Amino acid sequence: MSRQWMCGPCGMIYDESAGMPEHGIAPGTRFEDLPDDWECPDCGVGKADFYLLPE
Amino acid sequence: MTRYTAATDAPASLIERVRSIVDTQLAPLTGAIDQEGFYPRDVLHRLGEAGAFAAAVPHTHGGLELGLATQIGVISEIGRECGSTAFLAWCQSTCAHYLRHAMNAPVREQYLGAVARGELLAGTGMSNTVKHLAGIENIHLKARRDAQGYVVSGALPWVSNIGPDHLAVVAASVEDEGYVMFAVPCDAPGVTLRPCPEFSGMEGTQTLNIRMKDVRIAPDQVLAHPEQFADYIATIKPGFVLAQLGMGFGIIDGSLRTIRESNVATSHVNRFLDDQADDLAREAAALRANAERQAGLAERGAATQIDVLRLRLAASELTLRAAQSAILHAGAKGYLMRHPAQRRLREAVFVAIVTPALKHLRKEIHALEQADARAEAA
Repeated sequence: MSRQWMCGPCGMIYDESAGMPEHGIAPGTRFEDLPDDWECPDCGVGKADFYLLPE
Repeated sequence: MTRYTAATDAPASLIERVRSIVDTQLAPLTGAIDQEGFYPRDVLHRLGEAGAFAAAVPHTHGGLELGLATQIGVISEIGRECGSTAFLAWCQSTCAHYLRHAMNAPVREQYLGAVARGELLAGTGMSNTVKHLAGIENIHLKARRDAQGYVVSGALPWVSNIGPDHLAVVAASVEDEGYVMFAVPCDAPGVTLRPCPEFSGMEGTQTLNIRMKDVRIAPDQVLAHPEQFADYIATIKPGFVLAQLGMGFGIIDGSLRTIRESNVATSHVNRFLDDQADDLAREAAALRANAERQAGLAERGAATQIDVLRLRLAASELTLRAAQSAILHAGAKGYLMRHPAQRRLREAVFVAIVTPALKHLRKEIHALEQADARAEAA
């Protein structure tokens, strides 16, 4: 199931189905499988500041 | 222009100098600032030369020593024309405020004069820390001790009035010790500045995403070490919050001007609107009087936190009402991008969302009221 995660500070959405090919993240990459040191491309905060959006 | 003479100045002459710069140099730029993201660097330097960031700085550091209420008045005078530049003036004067009260002399001696004079432009990246301390969000900068200093990593989503040759004043958590607040040149090794996604207003504030990777902070850059931080933040917070009132007051003044100008043509229908100019002006005057009182108390270390927060909240709410009333008075023409009413509305929303945001203020006020109630019951 594809999920969307929102950056708390800046609102950027990470959509698992889309991934972020422009940042080297393949479509279908689960949020949990992103590197631990992955940062929001828009504002630089870490994974701990992302929230799973309800469907 | 002639630089101000610190020891002989008076509030009225400072305001007059600022007004002259606003009318002749800033007013022609407001469209470019708002719609093209033009950063009014030269205007900031001229304002600095005029003493616009030094109202509350002591003579010993080249300031005017006219007090926080005068600094609020200066920011209001700028905001009467441009909320974005008023915010920059707040950033700059608030960095001077931080440095003035720094717990450690070296950082104060190094930067205060240049920041107060507007020669060194500076941004305050304290939003995240202030929200963190209010239980709103995680802290984003992390530090560890290194010899006498610190090594800092993390990112702040948006910090205004920064650039490669600017100074930033920020805070980080220090493992289990608490927090350290420090100054960092924006071109220091390990500091990266990146553009933010576009904002709907205030684009001329040079607001950037600041990232730090193992940035070394020497002891002479530290405003407050962890053991000093609690006293320090309690000292600086009232001034941080109260100076923001100037942004709101300026936007209210600009909105009142729009209302009065609109009434020249359509007062016969505008009289049916809820917030009339006289009512708004009367409420604004009451807030200004309270601001003067609270500023005086804050400078004597006697301001009550809840009173400061309630005043800031009231200013946010009135700024929103005034800006909304201005565009409703203007009608369809106020919706044109060339008309100031729509810009004022976006600026007013900024006053209500910049830290401490309206919701943040209500949360902190609620917590303080609850604590008071518990203390009374005990």
